[in-house]
Amino acid sequence: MWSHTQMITAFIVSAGLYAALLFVFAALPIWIIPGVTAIRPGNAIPPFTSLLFGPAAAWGSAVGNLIGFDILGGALTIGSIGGFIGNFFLGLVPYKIWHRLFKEEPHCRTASSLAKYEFVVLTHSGVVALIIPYWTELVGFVPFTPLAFIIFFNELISAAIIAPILMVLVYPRAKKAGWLWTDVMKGYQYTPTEVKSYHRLGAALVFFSGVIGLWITILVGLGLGQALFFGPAVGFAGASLLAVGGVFILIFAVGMALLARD
Amino acid sequence: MPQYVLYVEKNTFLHRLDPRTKVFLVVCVFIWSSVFNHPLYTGFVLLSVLSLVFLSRTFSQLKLFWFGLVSLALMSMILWPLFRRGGETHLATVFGVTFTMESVMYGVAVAFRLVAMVLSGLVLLTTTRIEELELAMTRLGLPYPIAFGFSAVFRFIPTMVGDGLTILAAQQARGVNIAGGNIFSRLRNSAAIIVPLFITTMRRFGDLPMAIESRGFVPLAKRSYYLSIKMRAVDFLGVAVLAFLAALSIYLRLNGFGVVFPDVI
Repeated sequence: MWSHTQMITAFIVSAGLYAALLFVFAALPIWIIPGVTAIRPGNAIPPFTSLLFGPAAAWGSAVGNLIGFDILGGALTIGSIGGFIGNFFLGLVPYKIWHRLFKEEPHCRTASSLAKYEFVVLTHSGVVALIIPYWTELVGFVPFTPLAFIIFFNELISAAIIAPILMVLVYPRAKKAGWLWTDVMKGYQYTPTEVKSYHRLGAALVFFSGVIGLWITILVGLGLGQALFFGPAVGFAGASLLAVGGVFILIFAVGMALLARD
Repeated sequence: MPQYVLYVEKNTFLHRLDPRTKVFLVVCVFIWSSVFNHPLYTGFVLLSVLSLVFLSRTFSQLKLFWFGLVSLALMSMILWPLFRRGGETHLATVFGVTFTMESVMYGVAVAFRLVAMVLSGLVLLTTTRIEELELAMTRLGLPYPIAFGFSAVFRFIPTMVGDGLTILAAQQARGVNIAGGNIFSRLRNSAAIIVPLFITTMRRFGDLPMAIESRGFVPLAKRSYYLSIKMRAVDFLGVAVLAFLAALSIYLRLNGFGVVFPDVI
């Protein structure tokens, strides 16, 4: 990717747009809990740019969040490492799943295209809500459970509502203008001609870890089943949570490795 | 008007340090504050970082962040005792949730840790230019295209935010209601800002690859820089002292000092 100047430009657009929208909408917060947490419409950008710019959007989401939230927002901490990794996957998972699994284009103009798009959005929201809070819990920064809850719904609501509208309006123009990542990186297919079984398995593992795994880890964080699975000798709630979350992150890594295989 | 750069032009000891030394300082603050979970120890780390804020004379720039820092600390003091259960010294039981002295102390320790980390990052950003940071990252092994993209984003953010605010004003003049209605209608209406901003940005950036390639930009080529940074004796001494203190803090932790909960970070 880095040898194509156009992909570097796409990376700058993805990162800049994400960071700029965090700024523009900061003036008009859409509160979930007034004064505590607000929905960020800018969160619709990573899945949208991911399907247009592919790998450039993955790096763009990671750097856009680093600049827009951590650097300009004055929140550069050890938590930023988890934020960088989580946002990288926020931009990577949608295009990787689509380009391996779905033969239909992500124009969101038919019910099946829209349903596939929402599936991708649900999966990527779960993945980022598993990775970032896991890191913050691991380094003793912010507890997993409340942060996972906030991130999951924040990502899901913004992306599920705004991103399909963006795709309906922009995808045909982007395709016509030759802005799609496969227009620059020749030799790759935007949608597969044949879906391979290990790609299906990879996507299933990513979905399982990101959505089902996330909620199981949240329940463990709330104290469910700890005595049953880990015995009464657990010293603190975080140990069982880190063990369970770690297993799901491992499953996610296996799923991504399968999706990366040609 | 939004603020895009945190850097404050001053001539202090911290401003004169090589950016790599300052990046290492931030890493060391992360280590010092992460290895301990006792409020006395993380409080001492926080005091050290606060002294750096005063040394760098950037206190006025940081006043924008105090509200956020206090909220962050309060959130930590409330949330951690709820989720980091453990300890034997019973303090109170509220709605069936038992609070122990250890879990409350852990919450305070993490609050100090969070504020120390955020402040150290702010010290780096208020005493280092973005160009210096980009060069330092490249020298530390970051691939040039990423570093280039990083600085280009900083260059273009004011333009993109300016476009975004113009589009916002134009759409509001046409009757698009972003500030009112329920969550779903507000989110739906925000597409009226994002779509034109994206199209405007893509039009603006359409010629960028050609423009930079015509000036000799080759993504993976070896490069020279107009700006230069150099590690001086004081930087090497600083790195040595910081590394020693990081090693000492790890040694102390391994020997049971500075912890409320020994099993966790």
